Amino acid sequence: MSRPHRRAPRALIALTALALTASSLAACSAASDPAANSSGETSSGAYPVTVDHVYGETTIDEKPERIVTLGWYSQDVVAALGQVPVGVEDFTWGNVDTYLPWFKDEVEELGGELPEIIEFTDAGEYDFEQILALAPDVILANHSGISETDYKRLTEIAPTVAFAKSTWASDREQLTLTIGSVLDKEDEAQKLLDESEAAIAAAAEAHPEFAGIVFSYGWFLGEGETSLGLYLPRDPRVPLLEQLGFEYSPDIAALEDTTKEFYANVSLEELGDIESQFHIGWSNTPADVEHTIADPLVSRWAPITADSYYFFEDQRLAWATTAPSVLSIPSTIDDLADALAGAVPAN
Amino acid sequence: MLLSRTAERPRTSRGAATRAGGLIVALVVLLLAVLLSLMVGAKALPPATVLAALFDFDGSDAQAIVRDSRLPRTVVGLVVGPALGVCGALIQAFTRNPLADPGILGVNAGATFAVTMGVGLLGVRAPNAYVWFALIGALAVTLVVYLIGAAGRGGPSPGRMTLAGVAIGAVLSGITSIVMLKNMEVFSTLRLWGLGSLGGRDESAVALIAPFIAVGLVIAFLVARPLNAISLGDDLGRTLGAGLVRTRVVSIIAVTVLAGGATALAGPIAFIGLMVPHAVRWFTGPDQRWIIAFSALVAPSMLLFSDVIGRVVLPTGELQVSIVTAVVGAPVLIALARRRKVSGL
Repeated sequence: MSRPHRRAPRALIALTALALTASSLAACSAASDPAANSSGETSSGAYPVTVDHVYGETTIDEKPERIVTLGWYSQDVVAALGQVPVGVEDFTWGNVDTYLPWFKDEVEELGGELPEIIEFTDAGEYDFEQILALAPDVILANHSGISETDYKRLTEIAPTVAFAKSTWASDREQLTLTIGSVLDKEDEAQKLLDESEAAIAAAAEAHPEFAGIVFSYGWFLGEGETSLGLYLPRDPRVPLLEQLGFEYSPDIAALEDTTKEFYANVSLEELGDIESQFHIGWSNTPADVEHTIADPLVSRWAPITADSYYFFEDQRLAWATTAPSVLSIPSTIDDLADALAGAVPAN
Repeated sequence: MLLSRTAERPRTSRGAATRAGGLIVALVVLLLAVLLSLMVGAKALPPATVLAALFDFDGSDAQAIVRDSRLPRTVVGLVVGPALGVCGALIQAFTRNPLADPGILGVNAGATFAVTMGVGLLGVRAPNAYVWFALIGALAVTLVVYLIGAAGRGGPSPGRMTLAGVAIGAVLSGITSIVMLKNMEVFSTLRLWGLGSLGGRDESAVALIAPFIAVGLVIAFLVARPLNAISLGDDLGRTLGAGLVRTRVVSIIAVTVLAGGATALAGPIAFIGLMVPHAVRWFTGPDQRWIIAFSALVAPSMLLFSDVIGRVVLPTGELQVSIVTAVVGAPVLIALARRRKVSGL
């Protein structure tokens, strides 16, 4: 039913794309490696910019003004670099309402308008019609779970950048610099990264007790579950905590090749074999935590037996570790470190 | 496996002795399944540890795996399995449709819908509350389906009820998935309830549901003989003295209690209720009493074998039993479809 509706715009996009390609052919030889570009903010010489990602290469021909971000993380970086996206995903979870608080603050500071929330259809797909109506210049899904099919459909709407390698996993430096290059603000991106690194280093210094604690980070145990989901080192949560001084459980790191996901499920029968001195988890409600630690096998796991665990009850902080961006880190890293400090085992 | 030996002659009536012998074989297979379910898991344990855990528990972590995880999930399989199998047998006899399963009357969809609404709208979290929501949901949907099916002339008609059940089931499943997709919290809470599993279930929920299922099984055995008469057709059945309406109403009650109870305890598990009674008929012939008895023994075996497969098939983590039953069930269904003669009712 939506087909006739979409056909016209699609043809239009194809034409525009053709025109753009033709016009940029001349400039093609100038510079295609983003890293080689110097980032004068107004210099149009920076474009086209080409970005490599899991589904291929995407070329952005001119400085994008209207940006849609999908998944998490990217919207923070875009705002930190001084632009306000026109569409973002809904971040509602527990005490977080619609927008991540640091993102909302930044948008207000920039004097921008809060972006539209990208909806999902009843089939669980992105509402492509809505994204099309937003007329984006670029779609940033650098930290997301978009499928190749999603990617192809999105590309028909606007140049789309997918995640680098695996779903919901990204490297902060790589992601921040990539978005910096797309917006032609690489120097600023590097500056933001440096600030975040400094903030993390300061928090680590303030909490020397974190050093060397072997930790694990995972989900709560749902009703009827017989395995616990634990995050793999490629998930951005893990490196953030490692920077604070913790060490990730080598037993979980060893599972990295068993799956393409950002987490691994560990059967509760084998949970006892996973080394951990401190377990971090997220939950929706205190009842989830109770159910998890009451499980007969979870309750026998070393960090739980030792009462050395922390489940996020403040979803704002949970988000701050889920997608730790150059925007969220400066405003949350101290709160996060303090919260964990209250739960880590005494050395 | 055990049944295919005799599959060439499906409709020949067999002596009671042969069938009783078959029942003993089915019982032995079930005992084997129980043994396997206690012995095999994600973590390899020596048989001595398993035995010690059951009879001489020393509180060690290894023994706890058997006593606190494998044993309870085996018990759940033994409670849920007969319910699924017998429920399937009843519903196939009742609708006179060899490919009917509990889903066809919307029972599972009703239970799942009620649990989703309870979690999504009322913020219910306690597992025992799920159980009540599932039971009430199953009951309410069955009632509606029955009222629609009974609206025309001549009392409740299986054909009308099937149509109503499929339609209502589809609507409720649709609403359920919309709620799940729109609400991240509901989704993350129910992501695995929605996939039936035997493990990780609350012991008090087992104690709560087991009596319901026991009653459902007794009703099923009582209604088996009248169902035999009905299978000859409405008119002939009436001539033989089967109370048509009464038999149907009682069957529906048993189906609701069994399917609702099984779903409440283990979440929706497909294929067992469809496949087991169907396969059992190859051996038993059309007598409902034997079909129900065999289904009550073969279904839990299937379920436990599937659960064991799910524990060991992945490099890490476990696969939910409902996924395994679907994967195991599909080839069996294809085999059934390829037979020259569908095992009739």
